[in-house]
Amino acid sequence: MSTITPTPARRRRRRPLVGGQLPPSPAATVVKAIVFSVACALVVLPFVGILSTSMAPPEQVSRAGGLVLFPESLDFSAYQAILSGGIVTRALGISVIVTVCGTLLSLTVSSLLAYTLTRPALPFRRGLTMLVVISLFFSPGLLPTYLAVQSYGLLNSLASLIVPTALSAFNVIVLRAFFGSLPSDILDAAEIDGASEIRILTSIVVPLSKAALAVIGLFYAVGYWNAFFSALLYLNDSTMWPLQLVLRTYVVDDNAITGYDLAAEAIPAQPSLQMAILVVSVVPILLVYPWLQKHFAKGALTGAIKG
Amino acid sequence: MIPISRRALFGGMAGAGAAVVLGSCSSGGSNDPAADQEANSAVLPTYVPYADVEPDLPAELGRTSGAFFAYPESPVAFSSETPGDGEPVTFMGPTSFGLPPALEDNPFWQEMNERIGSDLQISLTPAGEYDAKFSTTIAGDSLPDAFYVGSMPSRPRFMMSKTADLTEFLAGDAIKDYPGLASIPTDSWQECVFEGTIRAIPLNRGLVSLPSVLMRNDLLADEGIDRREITSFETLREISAELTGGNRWAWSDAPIGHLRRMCDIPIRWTLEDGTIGTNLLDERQLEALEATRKLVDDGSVNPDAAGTPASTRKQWFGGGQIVFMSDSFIAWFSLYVANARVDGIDIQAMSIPGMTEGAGTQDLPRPNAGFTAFSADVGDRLPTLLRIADWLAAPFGTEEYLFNKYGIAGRNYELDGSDPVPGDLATEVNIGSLYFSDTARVIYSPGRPDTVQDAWDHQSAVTEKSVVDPTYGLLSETASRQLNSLAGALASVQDDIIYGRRPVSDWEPAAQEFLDGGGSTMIEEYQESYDAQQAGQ
Repeated sequence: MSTITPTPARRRRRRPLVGGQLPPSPAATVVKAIVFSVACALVVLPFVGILSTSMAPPEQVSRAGGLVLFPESLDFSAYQAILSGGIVTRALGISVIVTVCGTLLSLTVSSLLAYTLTRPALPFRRGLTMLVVISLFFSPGLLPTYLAVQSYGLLNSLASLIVPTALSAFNVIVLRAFFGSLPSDILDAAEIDGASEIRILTSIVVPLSKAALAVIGLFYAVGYWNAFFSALLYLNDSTMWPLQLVLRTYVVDDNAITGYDLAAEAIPAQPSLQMAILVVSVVPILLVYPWLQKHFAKGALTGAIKG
Repeated sequence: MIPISRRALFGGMAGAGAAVVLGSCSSGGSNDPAADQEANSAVLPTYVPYADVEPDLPAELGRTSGAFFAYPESPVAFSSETPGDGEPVTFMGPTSFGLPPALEDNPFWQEMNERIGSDLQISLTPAGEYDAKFSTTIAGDSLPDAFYVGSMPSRPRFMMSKTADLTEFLAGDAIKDYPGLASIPTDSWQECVFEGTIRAIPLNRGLVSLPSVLMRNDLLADEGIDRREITSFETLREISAELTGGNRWAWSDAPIGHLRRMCDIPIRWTLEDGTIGTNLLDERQLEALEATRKLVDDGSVNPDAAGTPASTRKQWFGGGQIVFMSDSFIAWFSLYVANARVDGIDIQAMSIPGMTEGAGTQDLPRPNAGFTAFSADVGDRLPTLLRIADWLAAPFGTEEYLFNKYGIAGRNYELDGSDPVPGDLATEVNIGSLYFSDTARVIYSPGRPDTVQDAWDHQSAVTEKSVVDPTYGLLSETASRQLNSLAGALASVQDDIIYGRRPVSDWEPAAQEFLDGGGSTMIEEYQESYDAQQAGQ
């Protein structure tokens, strides 16, 4: 009688858990690295191309037929030309004015409305909130907006770039949610101490809501900075054009940039000028992000999950 | 109670809105295209060529533009009167140039206002966005005194309800009071007549807009190639391959237009024995597509061609990265100016051979780059506005033309002999007045008499076998509504075929779809309009 001796079970070597989970295999890690590197390159390369072309010497731009990835030397003549006091410089100034003034106005009116909608003493509070929500879903459309701007006498003024978009219902809803999450005890205490509503808003609510205001302010600022269509419709005088409309004229519509446009003596290669305008139009708003980043998670999430 | 879904309700509201907008533009005019066509022909202005300046090479309708080797030594004065009435004139138009300096910084603009006798208040919009601006301006009922007429559905209704009727001033011999406008050829005016009334003035371009292929002849010569060797598609293909290599390609774009000309089918509409038709289902369409594909497959077409803007392609041309470029005939001269620093540059236009032998067919362009109308609200200022338009249409060779196109001597240009040479401040001149009114174009390239001769010779040669769009000046309501979208869909299939994304056999179903979607109705309407036109003559 033979006996069957059980073969000892082979013990599989298990990789140590990381954070309670199995770490990916080396092969998977390599594949992921390649996929993400390619994805990143696809996103980053156009930016590199834009930046490189704007700084490449004219001969190299001409030789390459327009787009340069690795400049042979750095040439900042395109930036000197567009920032030398011509149309681009003026448009940049107008864009800054519109963005700064617009954002301040938008934050002011949005905060006032959002705070008002959080006050329990406000009659018809739910109905008024519903009105704001309805405006979120039903846009008036292009022509009614144009007619409204015209009837208020705003055509051909910088106010036409600010007033029609000064209040965003979405941003008001987000701010209202944030204001509503503040401890009511603090506001009640201030009220008992005799503070007026404006005082409560400016001295307590706004300082406690810096994170939300930073995020909303950025939303507004990006909107004002990028707007070109309203300028196209409402402005007849091209000396008031903001940077994005100038960008569209010279880069998208491909009109030639001339010496007068730049107020510069020497005109660099057209692609370098176009790319330099593109960089100038993107960089200012890009620079704002790192300064406001610390507020993003808190500001955006709080507004998003509390209604 | 009839149940109404939310979707149906909103759909109905949108439809009602559209009806209100169109209704406000309705002229209540004729619904009989045949009668309209007859009435339109009856009011066309008389053509009176300007007699005080004689071109060096003659103009011939449908064959050649007038050509000048040099600007006349002593330009004649076109007018001794100031056309304006002292009141400002507002104008809105598109621009394809950079922005001009504002009035207060622009001595040319100030001088023009002085000479006109009224302040021209011009609002310019980039050409690509003009239609959006124009539509909202109409909706806001804030049209200026004069405006370039942008694209829109139901344009005839708009023209009848919102623009001033110019018939009394311009029909027949009445136009002789405006000699600049009278020197614009009659075919240009056909586009400006609606329901038997003249509603606009044309911006004539004529044969200088001839669709062409321009070539760097100096680069061909460097390779020992004579451009006259291009006598068929096979020779064109071989030469294209020979010119391609390294950082250079023969073509800036896939030349489907040129190959259609070589196949004798440059225009989709046809007219044979009094019958309007189409060649979209002709076998030669497949031949042209196949030939274009071969050039792309050979690598003779710059791989970045699709979607590349014109300015970049012109840079390739100047930089020698490409040798052949499809463009308008008039670009011949501007390319010389843009590439003045390129040593030994020699530009020529490609002839149009047949696919295997003989000659292909040149398509003649529509005569206008658009037209300008006056608001119906200008009232009794209409003669003044027409006088200003007439002054701006001063013919080539006059003092006024020299000022309108080149600016102030010593500031915007310097004289080289009798030829104006634009200087650094030439862009002051781009205030957009040429979209208000313009004269018939001629062949002229300051300081390059040989180029003028070559250009005129080319026009004369290729127009020997040519075809016009038979639908020009005919009416089709369906075309005004649907042609752009249907043609866009067909062009998309065409691009897919040329770049190898779809087989050539996909062309026929796409062409059939074009015809079924409205193309056949357009042919019927054009035919009706054509018959009426013939009956009226």
